[in-house]
Amino acid sequence: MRGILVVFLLISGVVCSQNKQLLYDYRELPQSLALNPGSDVSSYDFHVGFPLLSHIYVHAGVSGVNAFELFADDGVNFNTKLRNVLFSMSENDIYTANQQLEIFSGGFRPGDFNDRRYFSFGMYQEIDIHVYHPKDPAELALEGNGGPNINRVYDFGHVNASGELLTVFHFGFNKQVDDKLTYGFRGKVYSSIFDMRSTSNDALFFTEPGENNFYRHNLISDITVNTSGYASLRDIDSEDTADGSRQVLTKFRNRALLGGNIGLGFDVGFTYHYTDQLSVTASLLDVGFIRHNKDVENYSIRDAEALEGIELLFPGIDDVEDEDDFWQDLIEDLDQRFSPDTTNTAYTSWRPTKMNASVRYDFGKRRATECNCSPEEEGYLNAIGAHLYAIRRPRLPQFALTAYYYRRVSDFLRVKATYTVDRFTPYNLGLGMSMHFGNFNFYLMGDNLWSYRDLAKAHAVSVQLGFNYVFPHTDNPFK
Amino acid sequence: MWAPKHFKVFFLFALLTTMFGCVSDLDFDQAEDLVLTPIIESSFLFYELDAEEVNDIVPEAFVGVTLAARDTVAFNVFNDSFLNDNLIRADIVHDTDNTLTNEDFEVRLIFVDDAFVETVQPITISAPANQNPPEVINSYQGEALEQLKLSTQVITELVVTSNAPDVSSVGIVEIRSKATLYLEID
Repeated sequence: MRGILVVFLLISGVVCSQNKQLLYDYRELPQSLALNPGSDVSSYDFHVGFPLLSHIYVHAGVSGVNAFELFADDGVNFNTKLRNVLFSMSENDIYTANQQLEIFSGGFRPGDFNDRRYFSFGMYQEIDIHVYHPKDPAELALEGNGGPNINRVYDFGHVNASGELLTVFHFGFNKQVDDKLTYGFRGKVYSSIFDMRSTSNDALFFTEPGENNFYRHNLISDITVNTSGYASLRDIDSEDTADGSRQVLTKFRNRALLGGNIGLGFDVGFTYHYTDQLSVTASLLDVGFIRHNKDVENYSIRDAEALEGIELLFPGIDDVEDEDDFWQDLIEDLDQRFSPDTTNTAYTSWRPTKMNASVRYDFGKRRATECNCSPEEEGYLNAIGAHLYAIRRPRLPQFALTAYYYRRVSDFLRVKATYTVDRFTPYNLGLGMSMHFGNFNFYLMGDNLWSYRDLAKAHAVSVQLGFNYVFPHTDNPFK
Repeated sequence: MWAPKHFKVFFLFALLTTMFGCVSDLDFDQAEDLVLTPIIESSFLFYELDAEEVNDIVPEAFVGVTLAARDTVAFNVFNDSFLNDNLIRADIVHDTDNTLTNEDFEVRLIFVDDAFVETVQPITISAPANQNPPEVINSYQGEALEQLKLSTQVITELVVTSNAPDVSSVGIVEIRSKATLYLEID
């Protein structure tokens, strides 16, 4: 077990964004359906989220550094701290931010209340920013290629960043096959508002001793930046800033409502009850792509050069004319070759696919003295479980492993506590609660609670909350 | 049924994430102290001339110093505002190696502005016959550097300073140079 953990941590390397370990398999909250379309929804027949309030999620994380290390008021020179931090970070450290806002959501059983199918639908908006630490370019900017850095190969492939703003329209189907198996599928249409990515760069710069001169400078570049939804924003040129913002908002609104670049994707998942106490779940989310063919602007530099400086050429000795300005020509040539070429070629971006898997054991039935109902109908009050999460990112997938305890404290209050392991936050404790007032519920969840002791030292925090109206399941509501 | 005591648990959680959350004293103004000080090494000029070429260009009968070749090239690296604003010191290093058996050489680098007015003292590198003299380092800081930044052209001159050309001479004369640029970016 320990070996497996170590392997996970080594290849994960970083804080996991979008890991909603608190919400996953939280069966009485319909938002858990978004994390597993095959979630067990047997406890309700109908739900509707409060528009704009049903799911608010914010996550920010950075691995390898925290605010305290850089900005502590400790009298140490800022440049010294910056240098120490940059040199301690690796190119696999990340800066990440993710935000999701459910605009509307709902779900229902299509037939009568005994129908084993459950349909769900909704729309949410998402921002996802993921940037790897550009280690070599940062260190080159910090120290230059001089001194001990002659012969050091700077890898500009460390530049790897993506950012997108989009809305997602989805419709899901969930079917409880029998008492054991529930599966589900959700189709998604992505409506991209803005996209910028540079995730497959291959570029080297190094300075080595030359043959004809002190040094030979080598530059090999295959760098591409794709953007969509950017060029037209840049072109908005308005003296009146209010008018400019209005134009931007109009564009965003149109693109949010399928007026921009469109993509398709799906989620799939299942829940399987081995016994009424032991269950396993798994889901695959955002298997999909967006095709960017509107308002596209790409920049690329693809060339290579090895240069030892400027060879002097003398009219009368060398084969040049007096008026030849070879020096200027060389500079202009390099300038032209290593300036970005701009194209408008369509490109495809893949959504960061997420995988969840969990095992859960329910135990401890409520004693019948607390209510008139029979214990069988009430179900179990406690659950423990383990949850594995992975998200596909440009270099390597990132993993997180969570152990959790769920407790139904009362009809009014349920809580879930999680302990999540990833490489940089070994004390990631999370706590989630849902309050149920009749058919209304409110949930609030936060992780990395340990870091709230001193947020300045936090590497990552996430908070999510929401309000719903949920109509609980009854076999026959009219009996 | 829900009970008021459960509110307590709930609010304890809320408190955990708000009131009990604290932040060490941070001073974000420190970012204003940010100064990057990269040192850039760059090859500059190079040239190689063999004995045959020397004998081609040097007139057979001459007295004293002969200008063998001269060229003027645009030198507008300081048009670049980034370099102009952030360069605080430039060291230009020249290295010569003269294996010619008889000709003494001298290389002159004359930095001038658009009006051909010298901006800084010309750099003169001597390469006596059959010698490998030490590197010549010219360092520019402060006022001298500001003067150097006014340069827009460089005139390069090859000068034979020996008394007579020697048609039997063999070997080559090599000139190599580099610049070490000290930047201070704030």
